[in-house]
Amino acid sequence: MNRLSDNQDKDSLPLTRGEVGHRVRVDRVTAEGEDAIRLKRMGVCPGFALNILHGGDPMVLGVSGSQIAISKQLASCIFVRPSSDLTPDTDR
Amino acid sequence: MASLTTQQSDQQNSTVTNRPSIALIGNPNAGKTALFNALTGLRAKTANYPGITVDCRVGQIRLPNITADLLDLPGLYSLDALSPEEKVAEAALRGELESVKRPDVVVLVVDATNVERHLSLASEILDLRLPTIVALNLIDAADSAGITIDAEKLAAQLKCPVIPVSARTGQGLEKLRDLLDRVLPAPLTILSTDHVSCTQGCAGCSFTARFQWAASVASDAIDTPPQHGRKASRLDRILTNPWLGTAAFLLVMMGVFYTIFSLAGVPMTLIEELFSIVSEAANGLIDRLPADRWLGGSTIFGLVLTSWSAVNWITKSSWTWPRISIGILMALLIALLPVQDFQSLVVDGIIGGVGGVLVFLPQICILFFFISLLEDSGYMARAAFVMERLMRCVGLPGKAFVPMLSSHACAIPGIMAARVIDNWRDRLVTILVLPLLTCSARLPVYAMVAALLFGDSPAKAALVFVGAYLLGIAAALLTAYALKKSILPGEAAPLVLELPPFRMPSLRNALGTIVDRATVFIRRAGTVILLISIVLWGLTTYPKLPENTQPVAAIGNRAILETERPSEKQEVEENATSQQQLEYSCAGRLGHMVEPIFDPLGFDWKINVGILSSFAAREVIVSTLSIVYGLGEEGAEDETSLVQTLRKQERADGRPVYNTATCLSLLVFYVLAMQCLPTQVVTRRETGSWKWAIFQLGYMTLLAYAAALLVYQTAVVFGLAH
Repeated sequence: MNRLSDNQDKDSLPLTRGEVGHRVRVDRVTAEGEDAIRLKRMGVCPGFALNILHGGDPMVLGVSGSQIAISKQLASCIFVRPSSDLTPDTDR
Repeated sequence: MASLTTQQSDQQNSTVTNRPSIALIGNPNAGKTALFNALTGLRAKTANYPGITVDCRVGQIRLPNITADLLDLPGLYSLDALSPEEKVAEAALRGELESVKRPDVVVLVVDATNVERHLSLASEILDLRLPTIVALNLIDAADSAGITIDAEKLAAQLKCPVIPVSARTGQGLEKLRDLLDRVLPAPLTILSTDHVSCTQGCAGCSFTARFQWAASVASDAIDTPPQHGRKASRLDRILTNPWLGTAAFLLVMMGVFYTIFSLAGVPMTLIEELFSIVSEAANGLIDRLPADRWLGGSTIFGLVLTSWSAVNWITKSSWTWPRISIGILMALLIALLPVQDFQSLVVDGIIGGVGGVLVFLPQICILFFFISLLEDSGYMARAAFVMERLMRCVGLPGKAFVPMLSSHACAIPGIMAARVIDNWRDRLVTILVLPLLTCSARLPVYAMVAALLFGDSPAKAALVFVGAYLLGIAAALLTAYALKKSILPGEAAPLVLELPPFRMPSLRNALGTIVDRATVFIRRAGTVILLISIVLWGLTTYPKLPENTQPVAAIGNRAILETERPSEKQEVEENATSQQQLEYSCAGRLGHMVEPIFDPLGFDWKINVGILSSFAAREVIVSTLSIVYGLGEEGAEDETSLVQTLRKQERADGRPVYNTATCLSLLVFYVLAMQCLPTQVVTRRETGSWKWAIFQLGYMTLLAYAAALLVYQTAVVFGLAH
C-alpha cells in the first residue's frame, strides 16, 4: 500500500458502508485480475465520482452517466471518500 | 480457450472476399446492431469463421461507387477482452484472426446520450491507428433528453470524422454512407491522437487516464443537463426491488412462455402436416419411377446427386474432392437399393428426419423474438439483476436464468442463449446442465407415463408432470453446483452489469435475430441430424425380415386378426409385419443384447428398442413402442389405445411389464437422459469441441441410469412391482 492511500485511510471506507443517495469519490479498488478490469472499464476507477443509487446486494451505482449493478462482494473492494461536489467531473 | 479451437474443414469460404471491409464496433447498448440492420437492410448473414465459435454478422453495404462488407463485431467495454465474444472483436480489430481481413475502416458506434462513457473505448480504438469514423448513434434520444453535442468540436478533439446518426429514424445515415463511399477507395489518413501520453503515469491506472480524457473531451463538446443519469427511474426502483422485481420477473416470464406455448402449436402442426404431405408426394413420385432396374437406378442416382449438391449449396459448404467423392459414392449406394427400400429411406429416414428437426423451429424463433425484445428494451439486465442472488447459490451468475428458462421450451435455443454469460466457465457449466430441464419434446413421454400410472385421475397425472419438472430443475441446479465444485471449479464471476436505459425495442432487430438464429440452427444442426436419422433408419430396417414370414399379431390384436373384416385384417397384418421387422432388425437385436444392462431398471427388450431408437430424439419412443407392440406408427397418435395395449403386456412370470415401478423408472430415465441429438450438435457448436458434447451425453446417461436404478429398486422394495 502506498503512502497516498495510507494518508487517506482515515476517511476512506468500503463502498458497502456508503449511504444510498450519497455521492462518493473512489479512492482505490482492491479487486484483482478480471474483476478489477470489469470494474474499472465501467468507470469505477480511482478519482472518479459515484452515486449510490440503490443499496443491498447487488447494489446499483451511477457511474459517468450510466447505472451499474455490482455485487456486494465487489463493492467491499472499492474504497471511497464522501464527495460534495456536484459536477460529474474528476478532480484533475 | 475452447472458442479458439480449430474446427472441421467445412467452413464457408464465401465470407472471405476481396471487397473492402468496414467493422462496426462499440460498447454493448450503443445500438450497434440497429445501425448494422439500418445500413444493410435484413440482407445480412451470420458468418462462422474458421477457428472461432462466435458468430459475427456480415452484410453487404452498397454505396454509390463501391460495395463493401459490413462486419458487426460483438460489443465490448474495453480492449481488455474477457468474454469469448470480446476476444473475437479485439482480435478482429488487431488483425489477429487468420480468416478475417483486418478492417479497412472502423465505424465506432457511440451512444449520444452517454458520450463520456463510450469515449473511453474510443480512446483505445483510436490508439489502434486504424482509419476510424465515429457514428454518434441515438442522436434523436439525446436531442429529446436535452443534450446538445457539438459534433465539429468533438471531431476536432478526436481527430476523426464524427457523424450524428439515428438508426431508428434514419437521420444522418445518408451522410455516413456518403462519407464511407468517399473514404473507402482511399482510406482516411490516420492522424496521431494526443491523448496517448495520458495513458502513462496517472497512478498506474490506464482506465483512470482514459476516463479522464473522455471526461475532458466530453465536457468541451457536450452540454448535458445537470441531473442527467443521476437518479434511478421509478420503473427501475420497482424492477430492481427484491420483492416487486421478482414478481415482475415471474409475470414477464410467464407471459413469454404462455405466448410461446400458445403460438408455437400452430406452426408446429403446420410443419408436421406439410411434411406428411411431402412424404405422400414422395411416395407417389417414387411409385412412378421407371420400373426398369437400370433406368430407375440411374434416375435415383441423378436425384440423389442433385439433392446432395443442393444441400451443399444451401449450407455453403466447400466443394472439396473428398466431399464430392462421398456424394457420388452415397448416390451410387442409394441407387443400388431396391425401390421399396429407397422409398422407405426417403420417406421415413430423410423426410422424417428433416421434419423432426424443423419442428423445433417455431419455438426457437418465437423464443429469440422475445429475447431480442426484452434485451433491446433494457429489461433483460434488470431480470438478471433480480435473479443474481438466487443463481449465485448454485455458483451461477444471474444471467444464466435466460438460457435456463429458454430450455423449458427447448434446450437448443437455451444453449444458444447462454452467450449472454460473459465468463467462459460459467457459460460452459450452464450449457452442460441445460438439457436436464424439461423441454417440450419430453411432454409426449411424460403424458404416456402419466396415463399409464394414473389414467383415471387427472389430478394425480398432473402431479407426475409437476414432479418431472421439479426433478429436472433440481438435477440441473445440483449438477451445476457439483460441476462448480469439481471439474470446473471457481465461484461465479461477481456481478458487474450495466443497467442500460429503457428504450423502445426494435421490431427490425427482433426479426434480424430470428433469421440469424434460425439459419445457424438449420445450417449447423441440420446436416448432422440428417446423417444420424439415416443411420437410425438403417438400424431399424436392416437386416430385412425373410420374405416368407407369417405375420403374428400382437397380444390384444389377435381377436381382430380372427375377424372377417378384410380392411382391418390387412392393417393388423401390416402392423404385425412391421413389429416383427423391428425385432429382426439391428435395433431389435440390440434391444435384446442390452437386456442385462437395463433389466435392473425394470425395462424389457421392447422398452430397450424404444430407448435406443429415441437416442436422437426422445419423443420417438412413443412411436417406437407403438410399432414394437404392433399398433403401427399411427397407433402412437391414439394415446388411449397405446396405453391400453401397454397395460396388457405381461412379463414371463405373469407380472405386468408396465407396473408402477417400471413406469416411475422410465419417467426418471427420460427426465434425466440426454436422448436428443440436435442438442448435442448445438453443444458442440457453442463449446467448440465434441469433448463437452460427449461429456454431457456421458454424465446425463450415467445420471439417468443411476437415478432410474435407484427408483426402480426402491419401488420394488415397497412392493410397487406388481
